[in-house]
Amino acid sequence: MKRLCTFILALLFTISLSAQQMAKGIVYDDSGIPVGGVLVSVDGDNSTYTLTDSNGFFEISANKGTVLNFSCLGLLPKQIKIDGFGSSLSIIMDTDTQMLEETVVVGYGVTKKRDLAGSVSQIKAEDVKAGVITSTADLLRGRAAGVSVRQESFEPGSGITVRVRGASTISADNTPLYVIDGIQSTAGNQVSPEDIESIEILKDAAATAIYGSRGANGVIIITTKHGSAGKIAIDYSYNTSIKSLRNPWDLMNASDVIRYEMLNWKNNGAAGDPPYTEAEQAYTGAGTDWIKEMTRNSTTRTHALNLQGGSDKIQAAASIVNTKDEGLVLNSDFGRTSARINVDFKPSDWLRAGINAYAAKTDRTYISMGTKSSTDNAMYWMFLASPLNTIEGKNVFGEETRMENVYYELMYKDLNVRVNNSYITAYAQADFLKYFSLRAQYSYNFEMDKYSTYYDCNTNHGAANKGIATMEIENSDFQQMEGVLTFHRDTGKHNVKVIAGTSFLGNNYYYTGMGAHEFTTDAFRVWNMGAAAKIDWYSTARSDKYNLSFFARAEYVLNDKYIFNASIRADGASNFGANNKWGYFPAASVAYQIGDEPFMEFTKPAFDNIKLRLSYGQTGNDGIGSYKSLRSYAFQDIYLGGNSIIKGMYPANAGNAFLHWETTTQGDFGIDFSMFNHKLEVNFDLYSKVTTDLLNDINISSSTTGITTTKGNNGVISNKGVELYLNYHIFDTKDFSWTSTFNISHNKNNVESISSPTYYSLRPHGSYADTQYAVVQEGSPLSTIYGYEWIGIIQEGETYAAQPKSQPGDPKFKDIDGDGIITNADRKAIGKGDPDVVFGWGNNFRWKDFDLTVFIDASIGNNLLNVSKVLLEDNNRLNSCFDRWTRNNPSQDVIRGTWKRDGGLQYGSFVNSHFVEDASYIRLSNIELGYTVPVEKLNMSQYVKGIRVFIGGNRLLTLTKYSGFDPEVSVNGSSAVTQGLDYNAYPAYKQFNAGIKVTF
Amino acid sequence: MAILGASIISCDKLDEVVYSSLTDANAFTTGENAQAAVNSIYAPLRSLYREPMFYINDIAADTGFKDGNCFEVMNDEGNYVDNRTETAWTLLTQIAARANIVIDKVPQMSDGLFRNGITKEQLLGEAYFMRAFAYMNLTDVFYRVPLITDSNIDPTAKEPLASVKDIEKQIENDLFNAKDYLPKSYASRDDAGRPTYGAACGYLARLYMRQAGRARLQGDADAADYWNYALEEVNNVLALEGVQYSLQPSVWDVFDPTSEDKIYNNELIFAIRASGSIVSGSWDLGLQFTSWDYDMGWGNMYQPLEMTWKFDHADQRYSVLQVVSYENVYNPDKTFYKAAESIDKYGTVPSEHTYNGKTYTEVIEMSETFTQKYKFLNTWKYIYECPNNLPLLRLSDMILCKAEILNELHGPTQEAIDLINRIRKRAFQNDSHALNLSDYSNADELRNAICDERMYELNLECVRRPDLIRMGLWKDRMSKYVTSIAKKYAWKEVNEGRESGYYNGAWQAYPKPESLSDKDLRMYMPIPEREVLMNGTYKDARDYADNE
Repeated sequence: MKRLCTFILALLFTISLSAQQMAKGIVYDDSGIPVGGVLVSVDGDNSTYTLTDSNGFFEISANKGTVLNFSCLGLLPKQIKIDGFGSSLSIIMDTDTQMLEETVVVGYGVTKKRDLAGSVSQIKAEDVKAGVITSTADLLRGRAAGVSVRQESFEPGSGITVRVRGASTISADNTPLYVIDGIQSTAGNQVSPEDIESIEILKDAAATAIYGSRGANGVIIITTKHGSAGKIAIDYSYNTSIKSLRNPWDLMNASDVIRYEMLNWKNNGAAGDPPYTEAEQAYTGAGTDWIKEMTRNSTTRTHALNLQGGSDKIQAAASIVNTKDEGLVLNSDFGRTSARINVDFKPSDWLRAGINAYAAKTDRTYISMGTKSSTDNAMYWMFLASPLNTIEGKNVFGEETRMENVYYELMYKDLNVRVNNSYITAYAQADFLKYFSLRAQYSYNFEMDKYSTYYDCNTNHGAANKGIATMEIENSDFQQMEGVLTFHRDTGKHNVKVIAGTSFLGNNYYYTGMGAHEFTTDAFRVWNMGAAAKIDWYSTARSDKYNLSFFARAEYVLNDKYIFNASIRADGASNFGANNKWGYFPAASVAYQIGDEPFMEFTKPAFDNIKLRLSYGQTGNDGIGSYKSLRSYAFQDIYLGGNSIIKGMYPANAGNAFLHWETTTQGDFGIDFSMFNHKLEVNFDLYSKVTTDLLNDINISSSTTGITTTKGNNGVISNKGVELYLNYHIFDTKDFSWTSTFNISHNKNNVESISSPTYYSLRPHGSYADTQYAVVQEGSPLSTIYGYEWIGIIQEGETYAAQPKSQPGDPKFKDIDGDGIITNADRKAIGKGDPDVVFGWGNNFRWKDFDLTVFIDASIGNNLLNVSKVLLEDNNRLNSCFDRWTRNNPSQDVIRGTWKRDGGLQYGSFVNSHFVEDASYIRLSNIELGYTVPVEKLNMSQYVKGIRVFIGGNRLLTLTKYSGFDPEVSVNGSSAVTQGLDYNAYPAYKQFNAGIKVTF
Repeated sequence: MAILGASIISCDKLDEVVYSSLTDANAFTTGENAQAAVNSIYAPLRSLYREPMFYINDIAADTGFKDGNCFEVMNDEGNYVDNRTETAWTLLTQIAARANIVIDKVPQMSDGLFRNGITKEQLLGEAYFMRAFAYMNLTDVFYRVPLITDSNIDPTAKEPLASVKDIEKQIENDLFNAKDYLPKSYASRDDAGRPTYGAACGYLARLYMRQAGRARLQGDADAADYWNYALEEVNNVLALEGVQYSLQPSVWDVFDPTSEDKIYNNELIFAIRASGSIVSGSWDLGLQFTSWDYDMGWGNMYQPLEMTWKFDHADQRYSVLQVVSYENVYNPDKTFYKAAESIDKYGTVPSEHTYNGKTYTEVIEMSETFTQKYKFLNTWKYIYECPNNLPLLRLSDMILCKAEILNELHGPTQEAIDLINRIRKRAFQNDSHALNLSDYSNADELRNAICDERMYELNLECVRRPDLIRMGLWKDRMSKYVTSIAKKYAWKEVNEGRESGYYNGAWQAYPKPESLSDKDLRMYMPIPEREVLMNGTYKDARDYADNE
């Protein structure tokens, strides 16, 4: 794409010819694109000048030693001395970042980056090479300081947890607010990455407080691609990838199992017949690797077509994107088709109006895993499937045997989620009275989520019920109406901008669901529930939620140096107690371009600018659903005999008339500077967030109302942290450039107060006791793993006074409270689910027509409780079980018995430090090598404007000590309190990518 | 724009309109609605008696067994955090709280709202009965608990522990009301799970017997009064024998889940009901008591060998209701499980491979036995639901209670012996095992025999621990139980030719007999940790001085 320096086009020009020699060359911008319209003049000679042509070429008469001046709006001026006339000159002009006046989208407006007083991270989609991804959140991973992005599972279409500056709430929602083209939306993840122009993440209170009650978790503003005048382009891109299993588990194969069981039999005195005959013992094959058999090399592909263009009066952009993502595990898939059209009209100088419309359909087929009961857990059966049994339903000795459960549990379930989401937004904006503009916007969003399950007669659950089906449909009607009045006047000395506005949000939610079982055939799946002999349940529900808000913000910049911002928002929400519906959220910030002060002149050789920022403000959180302030009664099925089910009514919610906002108060101190002629840009932030009146389920005595928790305001959580962002154009020449982006953040989360600790329990299987593994308690961070401290295995002849009933081979735990006996009180924090430090380091290299991206991200200091390992060890599936303790093998690693309930364990539990692993990792998250076909050199430019092809890979290399599939998993989804658990998680993979993009 | 916004949207949008549940404003506006509130009082029973009450009343005593379980070893610290103790607390208090709402709301409703056979009296009778049921069990399990009878209490209130005497006063009043309001029977099997007049009398008898037992142990003179009150209530129940209730011809008839008529047999006075065909009306009780290899059971609760060894093999409560040997359901021709026939044979079973004329490649000695009272019918199917009843009060219990009361009042009498012999006659299907009055010279001796008879008859029916406490035999029976466990392992060492002490680890987990006392904290469960963390005074619930 060629670039034209339009500013100069307005000038008339002549070419002065004289007896001197001709200097010639091409002017490029810093991204290597030729620039047309650059004024080339001879220094000290006002009459000799020329303009570069559309290919950036110029020719000018000059003498040896003459200095040429190059100038163009938006680029930094450059001077070149003519040393000779032999070859064509190559001139690179750097972008004048200050002149370009980079802008940042903030709440209800746009601000010059220079004038920003809050903490905002900006991501331009075109700068991010994330490989073949299907989720918007993946674009954010590792790209912005203070924003942690964690994949909940490697299953296609599964959730991604995004946290801005740590978790600040327990049971209310921790997800940041997504604002897509001005619309508050819960569907941030449903936007196709291909549609995105830029993403801004508002982090401190100065930036988020304008969103009041919904800003406490940070705000992610997504701007989709819009058309621009004079430029018409059609892009088509195709990306594809192949995922291949990454399995670090060291599982026993068939001959290992035979060897192990024989060894075990001998160690137990060789009583009775040996478990295998001599012929069987001679088997040396590996048998079946069920994890391999039940997974595949799966492909992901995306087609995206983008059209954009326009004139002065009308601009439009449209896209259609189709993505299909096959899961590594059989019968798990994700697909999405989305279409978007953004049209902006400009009928006159003072009026603008437009319509954005979007529709998307996503389909997901998933497997059941994680903490699901073992009857319905595909991963559980995959882990436990015997390598001695083959996929043909025989064993390795050729005998017919029962087919492994995992096969049925994966292949004969239909577990689906379909989401249809569409919205349409219309806006009009009028400028009047010179300094004012008024914008009104209305949007309507319809979302339908359809969840269906069918277990056919081959599955455990389906066999028990002769086929069982459920279908649940959720419909949401979401409306948003906003009006914003803006005053903006810039006199040069004083730059004042004031906005005031109002917003109304209405959300009507409708639910319909039913379940049935006992089908005479599996043919119908969920599509003929009337054919079931038994209708188990049917349910409908409706709930409404409304928010009404008023807000205002003033921005004042004095002398382009002193920046003051203040904002206030009043929010009313229907879901709070009768007298507590309104909340007020103020924020103020100042910024100081200290680098521009005369007394800072000494910094000038290196520093282009230095800005200090300070902000303070409050935001809220109302993400607790509706009706929690009222005592309410729900209905249930009761059976008291005979052949009928009768209805029961019970108090389901204890009610709390005092329920009110959760408030987050945040202070932020930041320094921004750029150096070496804007080659290096640095942002540094220190913040402290304190969330008070925490909305959570307060433990109450069941003796009062029969209910154990009630939603209330209780407790304080703090998050303190540091963020650093660097962007460095290390090399920048015509043929080679290297840009490096690095961000690192540290967050420390702590529960400052809470009325009583809350424990979270786990029961990995019916054969284990329900066991507490996580706690929310004063003085610990959220997602604290809580259990016993393992200090080894009791050896033969050893007595351990604190465990008088233990036998040799039993685990030994530390007597933490020193009372001489291991009890429940000897538990402590043994790990934490959230990292201390996360960083992302991206490098973009360009050499001639090739580009190379290397992106590395890391998470340091978090742990995982590896419950999968407990299960595998207890069932002798791991090769490490050869080290199991016996009288002849004084192991310090694998206990003599099991951790199961009837395993004879007298003290402690499997929740102990032995199974808590360091889940830190450094990962080569993405590598991509691209080639831009030089269409002009190849004389193809009449057909295509550009072609880029790439190959690459995601997650090709992960450095971690973690022994499970992957250190990044979170089987508890986005829960703020129980991160750090790995149990029956979806297998991990490496991904190899390729793609092409053609611009017409 | 602000004006535009304000004009379109008025602030009353912020008032919540509830569409899909009821609030205090619109609940209890019809008789049917009030009846629904009563129905939900029973909802917690299934979960309560699925595991927790068995753990608390049988496993923690000498009639239930689960190796390695903290209840089994009476590890007090374990009970404090065990989720079964917590579940029992939560569900029993939930029953009481749900009953409170009905007792507060229904009297305020106008009589005209009750139609279609629904009456205020019936609804209140059920609620009063269930509140009494909840507090009776709460005090049986935890000793002292807070007494809350007001449904409008602040949900976050931290109520103090009440004295057992005050709670018993409340239970007595509630049961009086229930006795007045409840019918003797219901016309429809659909109501089989609701309490009756007979159930209210039976629970009053249980209450008075508990009070009498405690008074006797404390040497209080009013013990006899309580025994007399109890006698009156037991007689009220027994007066209905032949009219409402009858002893079934065999013990199996009480539990047989295979026929509809047996399921509704009239020995049951109050029972938790389950459907074999309606999913939301059935439960998985049948899976709790057997092993996977036997019938794909979950093996959560077994019977101790020590109890099994006490049975006469001619007793149907042994021969019909217990599993002492079986073939592995997966390998019926290969693997056989068998319990030793007596304590001195423990550890000898695997030495023989031929049983019932069949030779097995593998014989495994059972370390526990199974009950068939809650027989699972769906082996080989992943259908967990089974129509097993759980009897909470049955006629044979009442008959034995009468024998006990008479013995306490008058010492051994022929009338008391005859009552016991009715139960024994059914168990043995003949008179040959009848007790003789001449064998019992005083009340203590006959009490001992009644205690054993109740174990034979009512094991794994959630009554054992309260029985032992009432009779003052907790220390005695638990000492015998743990002594017998140690002896069992000594025999195993001998029979397997191992060095002495080889199995020490297996029995040393149990409390030493000399560590047990008549005022042992372990007679009751501690109030669970979750509650104590909110209200520290609950730690003192087992302060027996309260009633002295």
